[in-house]
Amino acid sequence: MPCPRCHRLLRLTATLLAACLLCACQKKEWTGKVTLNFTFSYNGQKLDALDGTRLFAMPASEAVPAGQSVTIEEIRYFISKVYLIEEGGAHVALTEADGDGCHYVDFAMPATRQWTVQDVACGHYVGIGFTYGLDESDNVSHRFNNPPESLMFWPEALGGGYHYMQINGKWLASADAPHEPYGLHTGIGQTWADGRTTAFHQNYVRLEFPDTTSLFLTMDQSVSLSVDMDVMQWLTDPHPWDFAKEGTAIMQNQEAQQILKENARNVFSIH
Amino acid sequence: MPGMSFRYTKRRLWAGICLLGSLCFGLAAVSCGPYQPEEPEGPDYFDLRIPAYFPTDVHVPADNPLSVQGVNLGRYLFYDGRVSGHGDPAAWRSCASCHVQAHAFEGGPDYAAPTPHAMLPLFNVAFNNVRYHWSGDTDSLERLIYLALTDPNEINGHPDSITARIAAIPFYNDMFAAAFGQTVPGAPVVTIDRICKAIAQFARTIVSANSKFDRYVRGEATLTDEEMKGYLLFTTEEGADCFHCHGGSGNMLFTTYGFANNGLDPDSLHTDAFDRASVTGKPADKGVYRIPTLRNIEYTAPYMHDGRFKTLDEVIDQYSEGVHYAPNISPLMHHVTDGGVQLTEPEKQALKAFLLTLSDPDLLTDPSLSKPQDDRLP
Repeated sequence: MPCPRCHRLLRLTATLLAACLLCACQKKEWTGKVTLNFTFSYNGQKLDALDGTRLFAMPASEAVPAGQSVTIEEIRYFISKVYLIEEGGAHVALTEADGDGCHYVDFAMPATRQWTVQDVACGHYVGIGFTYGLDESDNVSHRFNNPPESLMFWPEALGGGYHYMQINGKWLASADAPHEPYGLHTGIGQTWADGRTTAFHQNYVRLEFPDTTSLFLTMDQSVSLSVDMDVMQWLTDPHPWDFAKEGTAIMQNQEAQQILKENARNVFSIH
Repeated sequence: MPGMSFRYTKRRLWAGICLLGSLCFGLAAVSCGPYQPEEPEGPDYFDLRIPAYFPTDVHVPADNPLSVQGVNLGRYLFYDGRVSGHGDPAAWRSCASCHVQAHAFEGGPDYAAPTPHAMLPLFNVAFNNVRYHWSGDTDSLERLIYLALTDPNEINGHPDSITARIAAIPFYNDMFAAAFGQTVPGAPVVTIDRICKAIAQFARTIVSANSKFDRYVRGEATLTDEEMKGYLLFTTEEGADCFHCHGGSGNMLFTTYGFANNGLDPDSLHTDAFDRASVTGKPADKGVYRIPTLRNIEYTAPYMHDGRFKTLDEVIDQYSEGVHYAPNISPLMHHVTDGGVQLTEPEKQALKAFLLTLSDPDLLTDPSLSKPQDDRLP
């Protein structure tokens, strides 16, 4: 038999070995990965390219005379606080291990139109929810110092933080009118009095899409969902958009921000 | 024998312990990442300081990391006219012949650039993540430097004569070896590729981040009422509407490095053959140019791609009343149908006062960026 001293030494080494093995082989979680694909459409027609020349008809209404149309050159927006809805109704947040739960989507940057989140708990998911834009806890100036996110900054005088969305293009009041630039830029709104801001308004929107999918996420497998933005819905539903009334630069126009905030509820769909 | 048996058992125990220990270290090494070899001897890492609120993604190519020796070599070459490769001192030209530190590394208001376009700022290029030149025809700083060294309108050298001229100067051989090493025995230590890389390394260290506005954002200075009024105009769509393209406190580079048609000329009068369309071939890029930074705008006249404006007042007037419509005008030129943003005279003065807060006088005298005090340099 080994002496007690040797025995203790052997036991200590064995313990060390076991600790090393535990570190090396951590318990495997039951997780898979979820990919969100961000797509764009106009009146149900898929948008594959934005060259700024294609004309999209604006639906006529009491506010908008027939014959008006728009071009679209750029679309970019933030989505945040994304979660999946379990069959029982519980929410499972989609957050990258080193991320902040905010995702920037830019039509011109294909890499941003796909967002894969690893290590999502396995389960049966039946819906998704997210915040269009950034809420108070996420919308903090200098949060993003690198482009492209940093280029979305929203000036301090207007409330600070970042644009929720920029859609840039041109609109035509009629077929023979010049193309006039417009920017549907949303973010924190303001109330103005005598050239000064007297109040700020949060215009982000929390959206939930229950019972829109049926995803069985199993261990080490991946599933995907598409989040589609139908641009026409910004201009129609429930409030018809009138460029002549609301103007083409709306960052200081809370009435226009409010219209888009309410229209946001019908813009996104899940596939 | 009992003594022998004990020694045998003890030896066996020690062998077991050693084996287990080795196994532990092996497993620990596997679980804690790859084995890190000692850093080989070579150039010293250059720590490029990132100013507050600047992008942290610095655009340094993997095959040209910044080193203390490389930056120092690049600084020498930047100021050495022999980099033109010519033997006659009268024909010597260096980067600094046009990129003058006292003019924020541009040529100055009276300098007529012999190139198709006016000069662009050569500071904060480490943060340019898009392309170079007004037309965006160049995708790397190293390539831009090669073009400048060999362009007949610029330094007008030939790669072979440049390399031979620099290699013939003894101290440069040592500096190149220190900066890049002798990768292959017998291979030349001075190459045109390394010359461009060294100058690019130095250029990436030209950082301007100590203007009054920088200090304001850092909480070290306050803006006057007029400067603040100008900043409000700068960052509002119903004001001067500058910020989408030219930044602000959220984009401290004061450019997106993007490209845009800013309505400088009526579409029918645009004749420049070196616009963005000359690179992409797209009609939509006619009259489209790089959006330049407004940092140090006080020092970097003349303005616009063709240097048509000599003063900031002329530039402000252009955006206030002189904007022309073009089918491909940037959608961010929201006020084009009014001919511009229509500023009043006091508003113009306030906007100018704000623009002057973007001046960084330290850049003009920073000794780490100036010509090395070395008698070996002509």
